Amino acid sequence: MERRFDMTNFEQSLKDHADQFFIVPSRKVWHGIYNDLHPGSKWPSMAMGLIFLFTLIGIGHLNNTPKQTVSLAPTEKTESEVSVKNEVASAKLTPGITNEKKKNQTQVSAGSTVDNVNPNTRVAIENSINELSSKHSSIVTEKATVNNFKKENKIKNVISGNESSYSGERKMLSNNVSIENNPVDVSGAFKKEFYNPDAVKNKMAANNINKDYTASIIENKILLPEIFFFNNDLLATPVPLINNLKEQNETFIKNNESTKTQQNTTTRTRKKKNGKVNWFYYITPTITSVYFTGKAIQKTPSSNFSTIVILPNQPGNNMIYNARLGLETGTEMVYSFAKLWSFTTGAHVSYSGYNIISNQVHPTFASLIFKNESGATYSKSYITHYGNGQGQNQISLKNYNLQLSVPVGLQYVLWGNKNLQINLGSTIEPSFVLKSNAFLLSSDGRNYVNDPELMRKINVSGNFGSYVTFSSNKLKWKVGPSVRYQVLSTYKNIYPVKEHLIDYGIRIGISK
Amino acid sequence: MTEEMMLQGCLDNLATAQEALYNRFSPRMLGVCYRYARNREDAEDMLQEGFMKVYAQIHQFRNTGALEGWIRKIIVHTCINILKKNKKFSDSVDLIHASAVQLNENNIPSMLQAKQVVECIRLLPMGYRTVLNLYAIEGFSHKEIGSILDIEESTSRSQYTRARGLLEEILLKKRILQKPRESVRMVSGTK
Repeated sequence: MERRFDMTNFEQSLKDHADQFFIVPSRKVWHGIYNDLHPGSKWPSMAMGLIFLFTLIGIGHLNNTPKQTVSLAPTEKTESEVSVKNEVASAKLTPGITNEKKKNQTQVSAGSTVDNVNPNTRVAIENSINELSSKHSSIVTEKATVNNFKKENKIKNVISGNESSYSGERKMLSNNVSIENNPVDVSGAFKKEFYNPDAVKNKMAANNINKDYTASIIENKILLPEIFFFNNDLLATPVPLINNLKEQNETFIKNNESTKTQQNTTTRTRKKKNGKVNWFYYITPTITSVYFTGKAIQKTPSSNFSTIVILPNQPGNNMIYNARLGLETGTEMVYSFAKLWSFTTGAHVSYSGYNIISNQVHPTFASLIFKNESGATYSKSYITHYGNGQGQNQISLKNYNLQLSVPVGLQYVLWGNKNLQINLGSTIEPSFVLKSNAFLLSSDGRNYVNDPELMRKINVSGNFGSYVTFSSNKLKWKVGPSVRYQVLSTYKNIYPVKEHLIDYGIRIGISK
Repeated sequence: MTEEMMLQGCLDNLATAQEALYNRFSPRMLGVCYRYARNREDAEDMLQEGFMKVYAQIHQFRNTGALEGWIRKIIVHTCINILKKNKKFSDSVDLIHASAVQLNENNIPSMLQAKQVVECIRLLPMGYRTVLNLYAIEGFSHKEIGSILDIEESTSRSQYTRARGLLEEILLKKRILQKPRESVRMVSGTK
């Protein structure tokens, strides 16, 4: 209503003009009000965010936890080896504890157990325990070399200076092998009774350890400062005789070489078996297109709401829109359950959308017509200042979706070998819409309106891709094109026009 | 949704009713806020705070008057309270401070007349603008304005007189104002 100012009634004229003025507020104002009025509605999104965060942390933790090796059986076993080994095999070493920590723990434990021991021997025990504890911790590392092993051989010298029998040496070698390959609980308390020579004798006898060793131990009245037990198991040897046995150790080393090689082979085999599961972290830059189905319902010129007409053309044809860049990132677990087939699952977040070219118009009313489950139609009016088509005040409206998805699917090896493969993968992805925004074309096709209530919260998408998987150094890469199609419409079913987003992207995945 | 249904829904804290109320009145109320605020963002903040008060005090509404008028009162008071929190506003109600204003009518967008008028009002200094809004548009008396803005009644009067003169000048330059010839001579004589 154009009306000139009348100076004779300035206030009234000013009021009339000012009262005609209105501006449509942005949706964030309502969202702010809504969140203040209904704070509880924040929890679903926060809960989902936390679940996702913990999932990622869990996955990362699982992927980074060092694999523990298992005990190995030497090829040649004597009866005594088996018995000693079986005992030691039950011992546990906590791999995460640092050498220093273990050392301290061992000292504390030792201090509490040697009170009743001869003072001279006690000093020797403490020294030996300190030395041993630091060495044991190094034993358990997977990267223990043969050189380390040479040093460790001091431990094996249970036998006092006599020419130990080959079987005894083998026995201790077996012990050492078991120690190396079994986690040992350093925190386990050493028991006093095992420092008692009689107890040692009985223990060794019970374990069928060579009688020469036992006799030597008892006769020389050496308490065997380094003989102690982790969880009742015999582990180590007297210090004073170590130097005399260096030559013998050399023999052990030679004998042990073959055993160690065998161990490594076995360990590698085990790791390879665990390799059936691969975790990929991936990122997929996408470009989003949109596909419309369904037809808009329009009022007849008589504006009788009970009379409706179906627009002959699809509404998408009336829109001018541009594709937009999107992103998908997440993690994927690939589990091979057959030679060529793998099961895949994981979690990812995807952002996709497109731009509508609109022009800003003076605020006007626009309506959408909906159809409920029973087929009845009804309309809803909106105030909008976005017109359809291009004009002087051109503006770009962003329709987007931020979704959290849990894909589940299969992967097939099309071609390839261990290092290079071509795979075909397909997943179905139930998704939770974390955030979305969409401008819908009004029923008359002239304006765009925004109504967050129409957005669907749960959706389903399908993904299909072809990937090249290859190994480079220690990493495994997965690169290839993928297409993601949103199966359900972005909007609720009451809106007759169905919008399906299609993301075309290049997936780049990495795995250890 | 009828007004009664909206009111009842708001009393029951129903989101749909609250949104319906918001959708119905927010554009006009943002127009009100816009006249008081420096920019659109500030206006939206005022609107948000105002509607929060509306929902909080909806039980106090009696059906004796129009709902829009009641909401508008709350919104205006919210705008004034927000402005008063700002120290610059307190300074701007000083007459001397506001007298030397440089007008740049090129900033006035050429849109519909209602918007033009509002944009012209927004060109006024904050103190002038507020008094003009409260007196000429909201219909408060100078005494009420004095108590709302914590200024003297006479200050409100003089602020309004100057604001009106300045606004007329702007409206004339934009050729929005239509006034009798003698009045034109009087205005130009004062210049």
